[in-house]
Amino acid sequence: MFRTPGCSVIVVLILALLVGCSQEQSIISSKEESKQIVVAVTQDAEGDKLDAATYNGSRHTHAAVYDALVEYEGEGKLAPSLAESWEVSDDGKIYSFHLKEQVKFSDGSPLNAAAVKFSLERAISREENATLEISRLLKTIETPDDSTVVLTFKETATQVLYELSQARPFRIMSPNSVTPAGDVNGTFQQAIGTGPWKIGSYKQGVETVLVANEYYWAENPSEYSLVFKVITDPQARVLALQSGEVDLAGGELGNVPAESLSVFQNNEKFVIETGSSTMSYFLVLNQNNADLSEKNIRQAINYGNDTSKYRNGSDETVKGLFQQKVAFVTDDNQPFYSYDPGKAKPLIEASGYAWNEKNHLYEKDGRALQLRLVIQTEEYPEWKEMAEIFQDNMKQIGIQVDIVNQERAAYYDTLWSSKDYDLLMYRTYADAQLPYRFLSSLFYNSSSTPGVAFQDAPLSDLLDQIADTVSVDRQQALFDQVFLRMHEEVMSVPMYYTKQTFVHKRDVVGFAFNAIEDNPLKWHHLKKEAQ
Amino acid sequence: MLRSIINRLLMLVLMFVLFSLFVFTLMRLAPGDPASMMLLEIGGGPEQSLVANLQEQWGLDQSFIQQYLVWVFQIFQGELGNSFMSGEPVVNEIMNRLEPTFRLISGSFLITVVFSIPIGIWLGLNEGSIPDRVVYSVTILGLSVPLYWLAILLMYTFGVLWPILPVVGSSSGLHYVLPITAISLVQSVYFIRMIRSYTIQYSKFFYIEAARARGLRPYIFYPSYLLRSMYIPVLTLVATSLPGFFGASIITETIYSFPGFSKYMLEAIYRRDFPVIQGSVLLVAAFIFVFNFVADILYYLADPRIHLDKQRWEI
Amino acid sequence: MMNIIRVNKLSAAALLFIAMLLFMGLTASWLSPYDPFFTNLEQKLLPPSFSHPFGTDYLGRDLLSRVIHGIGDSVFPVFVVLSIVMLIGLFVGTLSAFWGNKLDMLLMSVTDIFTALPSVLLTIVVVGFLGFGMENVYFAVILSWWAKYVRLIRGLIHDVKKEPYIMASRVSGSFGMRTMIRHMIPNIAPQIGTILILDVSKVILTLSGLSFLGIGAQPPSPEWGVMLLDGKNYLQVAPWMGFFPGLMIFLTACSFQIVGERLRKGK
Repeated sequence: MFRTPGCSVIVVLILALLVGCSQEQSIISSKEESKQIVVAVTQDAEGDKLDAATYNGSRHTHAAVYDALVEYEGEGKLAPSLAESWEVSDDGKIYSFHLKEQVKFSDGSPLNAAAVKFSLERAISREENATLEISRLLKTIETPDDSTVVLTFKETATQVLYELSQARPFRIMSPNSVTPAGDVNGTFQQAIGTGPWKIGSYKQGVETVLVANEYYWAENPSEYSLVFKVITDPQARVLALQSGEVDLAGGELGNVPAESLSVFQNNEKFVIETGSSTMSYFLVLNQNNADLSEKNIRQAINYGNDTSKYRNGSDETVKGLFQQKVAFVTDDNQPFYSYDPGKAKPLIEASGYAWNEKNHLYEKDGRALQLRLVIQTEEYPEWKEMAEIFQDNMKQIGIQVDIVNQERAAYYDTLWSSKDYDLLMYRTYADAQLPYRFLSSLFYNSSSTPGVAFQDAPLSDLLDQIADTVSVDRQQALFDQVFLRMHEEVMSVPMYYTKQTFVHKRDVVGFAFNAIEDNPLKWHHLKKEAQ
Repeated sequence: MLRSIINRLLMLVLMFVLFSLFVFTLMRLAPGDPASMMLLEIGGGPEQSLVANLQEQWGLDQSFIQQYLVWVFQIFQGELGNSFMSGEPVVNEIMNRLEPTFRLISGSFLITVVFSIPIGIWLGLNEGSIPDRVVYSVTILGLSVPLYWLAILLMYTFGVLWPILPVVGSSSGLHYVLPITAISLVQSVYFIRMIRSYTIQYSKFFYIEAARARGLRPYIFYPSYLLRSMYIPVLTLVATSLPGFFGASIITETIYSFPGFSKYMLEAIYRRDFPVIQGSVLLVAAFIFVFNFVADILYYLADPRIHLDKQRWEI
Repeated sequence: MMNIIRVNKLSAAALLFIAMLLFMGLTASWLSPYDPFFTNLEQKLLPPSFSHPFGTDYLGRDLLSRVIHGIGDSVFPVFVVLSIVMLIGLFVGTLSAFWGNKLDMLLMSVTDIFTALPSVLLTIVVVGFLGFGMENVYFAVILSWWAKYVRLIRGLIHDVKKEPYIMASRVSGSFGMRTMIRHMIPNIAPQIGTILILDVSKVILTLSGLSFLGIGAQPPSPEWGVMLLDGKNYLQVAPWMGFFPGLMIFLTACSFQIVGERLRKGK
């Protein structure tokens, strides 16, 4: 008993201290909070290193601070942005851009052809961009006058506009961002762009505060400042929303777990916003597996896969690998295998597998039809649930699936190098990277580098042809063939079409989606209104 | 005595070399390649030419022994190399993040020690009483709840149900309350149990019984007899608990989004940022080794029968 | 008097619980009311009810059946891991305690190194290098735990070495390792037992922590730690998902503690 009084004194002291602190805290924060919109994000925005030509920080911060020459509008269409208009030569080798007049950077200096040349050259000079088409093929950048930029390429280049529209690395940064100013290899000093926001303050690992760019050219700058607060744990993001520490969370930048959405549904304090996305989840099939090298088995897996069961079945039905809004996908050019387990079993049997009544599995030469499905849950926690449902679906058609959940680095090692999987859950890229960039990096097969997700010579030929085709109509015809080929050879198992879900407090108004996921929201429209 | 201390220091250096070699080997055995991981952040597939380029830039194409020697050479120059991901010196990266972690660990360490030692002793002296039973079952409960659950529950209780504390970040003193509570609760459960059993064990010794029989007053008896005799096991408990506190801080920092060193190290492990992992693991080990060393000297001061030239573990 | 009876009742209950646990673990397939892997999305996240006493999880699987099936994956490995760790501890610990100086120093430095290494790193490397499968996961746990036991047992033997009865047996001429062990092991057994029992729940939680990193038991395994981890995401939506596996871990830990305490006192 001798120490107990001492203990209680300490407890009282600590509590008193806490109460004291909390009062002080709340006075400060209530003043600041009214002019701030706090957004939960998973990744540090690295506001001090946000060089437009690099991959530092998060994509959405790049897109909020820097503008691109052209803007991706979805479904393969491009819209003017910093470039008011542009022309492409018939051979696809010369691109001329006419810049918008009267655009200023956030430091007040004007946007001109020299700044564009500087930004592009800086991006090209970096080694990690070497495989991008602009870096590979660009011959010269000319600036005949202050508002015209002409890019000349060595060969036909078809992906230029898409690459320019990306959040990085080809967005336009002021030459004053580096020292010595305008030096392509200069040292980065501060982020100066033409976008609606500029970096206000930055605390490593904690938050990046964006303040309105008073020179913003397209619309009125925001009256608020935008705080990107780093919250790594998904459950913590939910709790931070509930406790009022953040105003908004969701999307790819700070995903609110689907299982927690019901907390915010029918809740007068919160609003759930759902927007479209272009990404899909799918299974990569390993052709080198004896079972999967048979087309019948690959087809059977597709027939047995009830995609309506994933994520409550409330979402869009999966019709083929790519979502409808992906460029070059039309209503009828992407055939798919709809759920029909009745068709699956005959296919398996046609390949010489026999039903084993004892374990309810198909087998061949005494070996059961058994596949290893590799997933990771660090970046995509929902894959675990999906894998379990898939496992159950496959059990229905006599295929045993063993799930292997790997740590992130090991998972990517399995995908890219060791190839130690039968099935592997993966995702498509998004927006302007679909479908060409995605297909060329995963399904393109050459003698030096075998295709990552599938090896098929005719498909690679088609992709080669697309790379040399300027005309959109001819590209469309080629993509029709690509989608057909992928369907006929059953190169993947489409699983799920993602969408973007955001949750915000009801007093946050002006919520609006942007066209691309890398820049998901019109942040500068957000306001707070007393309820 | 000086000679023994020097001997011990030499031993420490040798262990450090062994440790560094061990960590270095482990890193290169792990699956996953830092170059591919970095290129993935860029959002595409790791093209072979780029991977080769990065590996050359980072010296990963050299032989294992070459890489190790280069690294050791760097250490002797007081450097730990540059992070693969950020390109910044590892020393700076670590230093920037050390402060919140230091506060977190030292705070929970202090609270754990301050609360659990008296509670443990009191329970041990009143073995079998009702409070003893209650606290004892609470400690079992504590041993059955994983830290990540406890952390989330605390956030839910004090951030949502009864919103009096902030749930994420580290920007004010108030932000430390929940993380420190989480770590202290989990750690003190273990402390209380151990100290309780030491008390039971030591109060049965003859000299303690004799002292008690003499009717010494509590304020003389407890500090000068019981505590004095338990000094060494308690010191051992405290000294060996440091890795536990560090492990707990990894999980806590991740859940509470603490911009600290432990979270940084975990991220580095995920991304296979070799220089950062090597540097941070070495730092942690250095801390632990030095802590042990200090504990040895305290042993000597506590009990003159112990000779410093004997090893710590011979006590 | 009342006290003793109550304690006895308590330890009897604890013993009964452990026996039941073992029995249920061995006969899980007959005992569980449903197939623990049967998914039924129409019945997902049902709260505890008469037909599903523990409720259902996010795939509509019956939690009671899963908890029962989980005994095999959660409790049995604990025995394996702990006995291996203990055997290593006994072997290396005695070795170290008897052949002092050089070997002792070397072995203890090695244990120092292992305690200083973050177990996350060690586990990722072991599982990544040896491939998947629970046996490798157990190996990884053993690798990060053995040092602690070596230290402990070595310390205990050192203490016991100085005891009069060991001295006496030495004086009376028994020097061989085997005799020494025969005299010593029984004397240090209670202390080892206490720590082992304390670690029962710790092993279960460690395995759960590994699943947190994507290394431990693979879905759809009903390992308790994994279920507890799943339950974390459903804290506000379906608290029973984490509650029941957690309760089982608690009860198991509790029972072992009580029985352990009883054994210690019974001496």
